Amino acid sequence: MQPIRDISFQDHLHPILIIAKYELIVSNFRYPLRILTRFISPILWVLPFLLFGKAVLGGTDSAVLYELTGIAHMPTFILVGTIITSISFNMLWLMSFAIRLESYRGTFESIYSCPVNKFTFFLGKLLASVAWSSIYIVGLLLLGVFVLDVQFVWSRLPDMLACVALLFLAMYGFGLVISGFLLVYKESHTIIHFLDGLISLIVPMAYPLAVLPLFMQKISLMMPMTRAVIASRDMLIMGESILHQGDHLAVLAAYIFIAIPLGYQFFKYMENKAKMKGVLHKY
Amino acid sequence: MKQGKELAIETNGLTKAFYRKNGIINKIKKQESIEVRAVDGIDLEIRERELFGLLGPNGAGKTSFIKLLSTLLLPDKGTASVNGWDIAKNSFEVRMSIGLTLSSERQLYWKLTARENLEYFASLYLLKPQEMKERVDYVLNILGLEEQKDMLVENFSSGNRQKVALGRALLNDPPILFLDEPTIGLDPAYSKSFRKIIKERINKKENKTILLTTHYMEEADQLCDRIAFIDKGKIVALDTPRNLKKSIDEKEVITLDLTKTSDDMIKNINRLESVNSIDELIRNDSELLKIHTDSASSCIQDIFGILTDHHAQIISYRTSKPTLEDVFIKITGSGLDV
Amino acid sequence: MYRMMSNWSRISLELRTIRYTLKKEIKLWQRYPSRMLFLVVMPFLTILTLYFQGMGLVGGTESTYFEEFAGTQDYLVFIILGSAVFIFVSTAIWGVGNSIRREQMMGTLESIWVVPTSKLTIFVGVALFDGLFSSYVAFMQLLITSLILPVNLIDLRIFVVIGIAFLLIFSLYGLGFFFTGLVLIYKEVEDFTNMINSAIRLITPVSYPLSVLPAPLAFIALFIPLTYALQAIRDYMGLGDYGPIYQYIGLLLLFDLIFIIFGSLFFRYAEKSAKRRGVIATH
Repeated sequence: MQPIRDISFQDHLHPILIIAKYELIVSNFRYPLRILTRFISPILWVLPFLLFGKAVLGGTDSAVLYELTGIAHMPTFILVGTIITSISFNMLWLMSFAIRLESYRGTFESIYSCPVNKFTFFLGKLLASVAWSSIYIVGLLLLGVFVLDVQFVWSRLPDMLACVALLFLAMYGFGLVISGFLLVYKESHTIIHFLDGLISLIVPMAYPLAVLPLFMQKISLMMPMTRAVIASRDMLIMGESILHQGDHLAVLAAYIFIAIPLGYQFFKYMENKAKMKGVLHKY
Repeated sequence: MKQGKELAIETNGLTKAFYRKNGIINKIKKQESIEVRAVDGIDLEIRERELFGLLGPNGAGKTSFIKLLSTLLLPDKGTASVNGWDIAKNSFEVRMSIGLTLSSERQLYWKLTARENLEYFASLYLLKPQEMKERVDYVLNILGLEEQKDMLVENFSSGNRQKVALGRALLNDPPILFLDEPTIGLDPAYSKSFRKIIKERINKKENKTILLTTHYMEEADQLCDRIAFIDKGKIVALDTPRNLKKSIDEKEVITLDLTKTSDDMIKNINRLESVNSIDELIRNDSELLKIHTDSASSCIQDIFGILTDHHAQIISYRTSKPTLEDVFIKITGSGLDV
Repeated sequence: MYRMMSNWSRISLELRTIRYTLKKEIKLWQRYPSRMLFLVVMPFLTILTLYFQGMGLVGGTESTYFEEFAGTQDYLVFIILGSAVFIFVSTAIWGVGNSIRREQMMGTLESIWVVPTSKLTIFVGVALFDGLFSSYVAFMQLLITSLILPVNLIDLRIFVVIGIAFLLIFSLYGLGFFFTGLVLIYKEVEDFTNMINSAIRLITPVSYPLSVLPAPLAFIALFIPLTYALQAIRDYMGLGDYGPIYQYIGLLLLFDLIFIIFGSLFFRYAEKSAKRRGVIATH
């Protein structure tokens, strides 16, 4: 038996930054067209909602919206929802399809035979998503300031960003579950796209929660994205502090402390199942 | 070079089966899905610093065996240890002990340079930042890739890509390397230089244990200290290349490539005194006869006479010493390129 | 021998190729039934999102402000019809162009490229499939929407609506060629394709009337055949008064011709360029 290197805890963390760096390079920076499209996409996504809103309101303010949420200015309302949902989906996609992307690139088995812990590996992907999402946030905020005349309480922006940080961690568990699922059920990516559409419907990005049927409202309130959207609106539009978002933060914290360990255990379980079935590498 | 006495790799009854999915019609007919035993009860011991070859045709189970040992698959039955670590219970330690190259074309990031690829994988091997730089530079140097280190891999030739893949496997300075068909798709000149690197540099100089899979018998012959033949998931023979070839009593082999043969013709050739045995291989557009004999010169004229009597058309013929392929055919009844 | 065939023999062989291409596309889709579900359900989720947004902004499915822009208060039927027609566009963008990408990924592209059959013929088969498939999906979507939302669109007029939308097929054929050309040149165009899909949806009156758009965008919409298909359909269904329906159908057919010519020319240019650079079958 030949000795192997001792690995410290820091050694396990070191790859995170490098994985993030190379994910950004491989996925984005080496494709100039992609950088452009990624920058523009969230803007293209939100504009139809704003234009539809204008078409039904004849302007930007809604009495019905004000009655339901305390916010009358439709673009401001929608923009906060868009910021949260676009970064959530970006993160979810990157994590869920991290494995699948590597299969597509042909590097999956090479990575899997390395000693790096998968938890660390996904943290690297998460970090890449955070970096990329920052671009989305800046782009959307610029759109809001220069085009939509949004009415934000800017002093609450740090509170909102803190909430976003918690959201990232809360979504990490989600991402682990979906990624684990895809390890075994390869053709389920269409179903994931479908779930993506369903989540877009349930999370109150462009409308208040109150317009959803009651059963959908209950499901929605269990989603970390919904909590982040509502809390962000309360903070950035209504000017409330993060300390008044106890209910929402509690749900996010529950996801962080429960969903992450459970998600990881589920991922390991699915990983073993894929290895037993011999489908780990299949794309 | 002496080989270690300690075992680098040990397997006991290692088994892995896959189940082919049924289509809708068979599901309706309630037919069972088909079991394919990729690895079937393999017992194997590979010593430290040995260059061990696993030789067999496509679909024999070579890649599945490597994947089991590199923790990409879990076995259904049996056990295996790599560098003393159990593949099922100690997968982290196993992965710390190995470097792996696979036969697929894309195992690197084509949109990264050679150096970037190696840096990335060095981080996945948990190398510290200073170690990372040193190892990447070292690996680029020994593989002769220093000048191309900042070129995107997508612009590399397949030979250089394979070198980068090998470099990746060496980053962690592992005691054991698994090389799955390392020269597949490479031209003869590149294959030759690649084999030299594997044998001279990695095995002899760096003292690494290497388990190499291939279906090129001359590669196994040239490189390996010992070879195991694998067919349908089982080891069918295991010895040094020399002993394997000696296991065929014959000294020479006459290989005849004919448009067609007949049972009578083969019987008549077999009756000749100096002919020991005949192997028949049916190909798409011809039939190959391998006639094992003590002396080709003593029977060749008689053989041609029999061929003439049976109006057989000869596409080509040659005389040679027995090769590993001959041994394989003798044992399994099929060639290495099935 | 092929060159010596009479024109008639060659035409009948090309027609047979169309039939076999159609068969192949059908078989490929049958192997992925979840995609069918995805295509039927996803646009419906988009409609639902806008429906909820409308409820959140005006408290009902009608708006007097909407009538000023569109000539009808019934925004819900407006967006449902728009969404159904947009399926034809999405299928074309992801169909013809993507089929080349699929052939590249499967490694069959070069084999297809060297056959004596005209590439245009092969793509007619694909475009025809896309048209039939889109018609089916659009019909299913209208059916589902009528069952779940407070609208009733299932009557014989729907077949005329789908018939008008089917006239889009010719322009989509041209658009498909354009995207095929892009794929030949740039390879990694999924994000760009996605962006174009979103951009077309943004500037055409799919979810809101043209008059809501800023003037420059509304002007660009006048060069997209989808605009005329939508105007013709809405006029036929009594949603506002756009003028004689035949003038829209005439403009639709005119732009169909322009798109086919432009798309085919771009495709030929891209094909020559890819052959010169030796990148036809590379990833």
